[in-house]
Amino acid sequence: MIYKLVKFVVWPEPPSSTAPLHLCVYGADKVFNALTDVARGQRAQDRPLVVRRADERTLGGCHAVFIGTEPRVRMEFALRSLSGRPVLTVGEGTGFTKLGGMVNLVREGRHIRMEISRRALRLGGLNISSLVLALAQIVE
Amino acid sequence: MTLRMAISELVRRLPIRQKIVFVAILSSTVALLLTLASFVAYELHEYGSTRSQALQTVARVIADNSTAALSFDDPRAASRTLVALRSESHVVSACLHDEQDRHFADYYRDGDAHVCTRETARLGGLGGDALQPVPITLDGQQIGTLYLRFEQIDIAARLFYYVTIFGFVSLTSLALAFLLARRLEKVISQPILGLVETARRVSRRDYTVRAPQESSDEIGLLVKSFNRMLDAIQRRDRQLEAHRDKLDGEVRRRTARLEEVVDRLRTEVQHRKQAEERFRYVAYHDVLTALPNRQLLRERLELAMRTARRERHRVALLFLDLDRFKEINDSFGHAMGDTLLKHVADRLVGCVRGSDGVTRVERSDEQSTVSRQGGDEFTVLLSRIAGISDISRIANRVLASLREPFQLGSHEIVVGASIGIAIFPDDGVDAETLLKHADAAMYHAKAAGRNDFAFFNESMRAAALQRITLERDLRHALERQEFELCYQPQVSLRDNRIIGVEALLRWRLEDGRHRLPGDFIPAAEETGLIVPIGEWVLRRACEQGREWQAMGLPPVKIAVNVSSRQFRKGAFFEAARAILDETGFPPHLLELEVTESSMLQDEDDVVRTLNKLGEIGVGIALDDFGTGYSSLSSLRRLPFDSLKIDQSFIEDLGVRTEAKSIVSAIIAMSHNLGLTVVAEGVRSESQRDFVRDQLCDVYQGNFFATAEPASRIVTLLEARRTDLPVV
Repeated sequence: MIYKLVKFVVWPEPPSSTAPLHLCVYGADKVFNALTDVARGQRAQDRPLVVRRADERTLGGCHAVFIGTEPRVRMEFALRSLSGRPVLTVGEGTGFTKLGGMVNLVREGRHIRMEISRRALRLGGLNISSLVLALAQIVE
Repeated sequence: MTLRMAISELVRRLPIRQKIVFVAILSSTVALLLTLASFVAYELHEYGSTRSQALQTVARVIADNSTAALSFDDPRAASRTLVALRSESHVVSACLHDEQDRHFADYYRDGDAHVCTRETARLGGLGGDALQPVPITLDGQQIGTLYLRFEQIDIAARLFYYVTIFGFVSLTSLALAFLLARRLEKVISQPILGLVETARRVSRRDYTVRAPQESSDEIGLLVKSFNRMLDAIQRRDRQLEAHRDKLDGEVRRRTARLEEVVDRLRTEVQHRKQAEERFRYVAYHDVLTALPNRQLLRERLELAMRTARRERHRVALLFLDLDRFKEINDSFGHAMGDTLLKHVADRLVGCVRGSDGVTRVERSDEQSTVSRQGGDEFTVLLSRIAGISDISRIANRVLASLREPFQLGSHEIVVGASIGIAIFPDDGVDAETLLKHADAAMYHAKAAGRNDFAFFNESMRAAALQRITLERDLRHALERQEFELCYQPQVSLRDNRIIGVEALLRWRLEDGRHRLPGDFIPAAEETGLIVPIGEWVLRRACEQGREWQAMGLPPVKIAVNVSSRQFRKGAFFEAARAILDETGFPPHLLELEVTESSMLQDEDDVVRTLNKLGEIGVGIALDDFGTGYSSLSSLRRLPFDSLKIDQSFIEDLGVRTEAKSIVSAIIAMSHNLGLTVVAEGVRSESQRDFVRDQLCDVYQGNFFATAEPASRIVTLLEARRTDLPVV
């Protein structure tokens, strides 16, 4: 999901940049593995994708970060540190957007629904394609 | 072919205005149709390509908008996106397939459920045409495919649609074109119609009109050219008019001049005619009395005789001679004599008129004509007489009338007349004979005692016949040269010498006898034969004189008698001079003897001829002086050199006492006038002595010598040359 999402996100960088997009995973190892499988050798917006693990120090260098819900304190910390920064924050679990997360993935049966906080996106200076917004549930 | 001919015929017949409309509408229609065709073609093509492009674009948009739905595997969102195709009414269906080309979402315009499979999408058969499948890609990766089907456009409907619109536009355009053409047609045909109208007026010879020029295009140019042509025509017309006026003027002037000339000619002709009439009148009338003259009488007489012959009646000719006219003429002068003749003429006319009741005898009368023959001789022609008594009555009346005294000025003059009468056809059948016979009768009457009339009778006829014979004989004599000359010497009373001879004519007959001049000269004078005879005498005398000169005889004058009839012919002078020239006889030795009676008639002619003869040296002698009525005073005016006392006076010497005094008076007066005096007929010594004592210059007569042949004269002259006195 993260990997698909970055294709629809516009960072406040020069669009000509060809630097790799850093997709980071914070905490959730299962996700990191899956993402590494999916995104290996993939490109988004003509930029190569780099999947890596991120800790509290390396979070700032990411373009998008999947933040695991456990433990809650780490999640809150990460979100707080990334607040107002151009890093797409993706998480899963209730309250993620309330804590300042940008895109929350909610599992509903077979489908995964997206909750998107436009306030958070605005704070981070990110734009996300309206096509995606049309698919998602917008929260404030 | 026939259609085209019909059209061209129609076009040819159409008026220009309709032609213009026709052309405008035709061109508009053609333009519109061309436009329509190209527009439709273009539009159809454009429409097709535009629509396919639009569909492509729509498909592209749909595909792009479906990326998120495909990426996040959300068919419902994809369906929502596809529903947007509803605005594209001609899109029949849209099938969205996923990455593995499996059905993901679909859309059907008509709501019918169809299964979008890869085969159906590709192969069609679901209605409408398939659009090229549109791949859906995200970051260079195909994540799905969109299959669109759309309805083929309805070209017929589209065409109908266009044609409808176009038909409307065309109709509007054509209407506009028609209206414009009508306006335009006016713009073009109006000036042409103006031209036509102008031309029509010009053809009625009104050259002042001009076609209005409303534009400066070709028609304007045409109008301008036309007007210029009119200018030229008008100018030409004016010139022509001016020329015509000038010509008219000229013609009028010439006509006037011609008329003037014609008038003058007419006047001239009139003058000529008058002159001719006057001439004719003069030719046929006596100037003095205005009576017809002898010429006219002759014509009238002949006319009267012709009529009489035809109508079998008689014509009488009265020949009248005044009895004492010569005396009166001599005593009172010619003027008085002329006046008397006029009065006589009046009385004669009065007599005839009285008898016949004819007013204008002289002109219109065919009954009687009074005419003057010359001198104191008149004739009265009576063209239609009943009998002898009529003639006698008229003759008596004439005589009675003329016996009445004439009052001429202070003088009362009494004349008488003798009348001879000849009657046609009894006394002659031609004018000549009648006149001659009337004349002869008149002489009889005169001889019988004057103041009477006599009819021509048989004895007169015999005399006349005798005269005619004589006349014939005279002609023969002239031709046969039966004439010869004798010469009687004229002797000077001073020295008794022969100073000249008088040539005397002798007619030697075949039997040797001679006829004396007194027998035949009157007849010769009457017939006019005197002229050739006189010329012969003159020529012979001159030749003789020349011979004598050649013989060396002393010069003597030769005197030749000249008759008055010779003078009447104006050519006498020329003839005399010619003879003198031809013979070489000196004129001063020639003397012409003229009788007193010669002087009475045509005196002026005679005087003129005598003067001319005197000028060339010819001597003139007055012969037989004393027998006539000439007064000595009248001799002054005439160029006489000498005067011959008539022999009757010489004969009377010693018989009648008064004869001596007459002869001496004549001699004295003649000398006073400077004339040489010749005494004729001296037969005796006493006579010779008397005239010699009266200082007469020359004598002539038997006392000295009778008329002798030329040879005898030679002897006498030779005797003189020896200077011996002849006697």
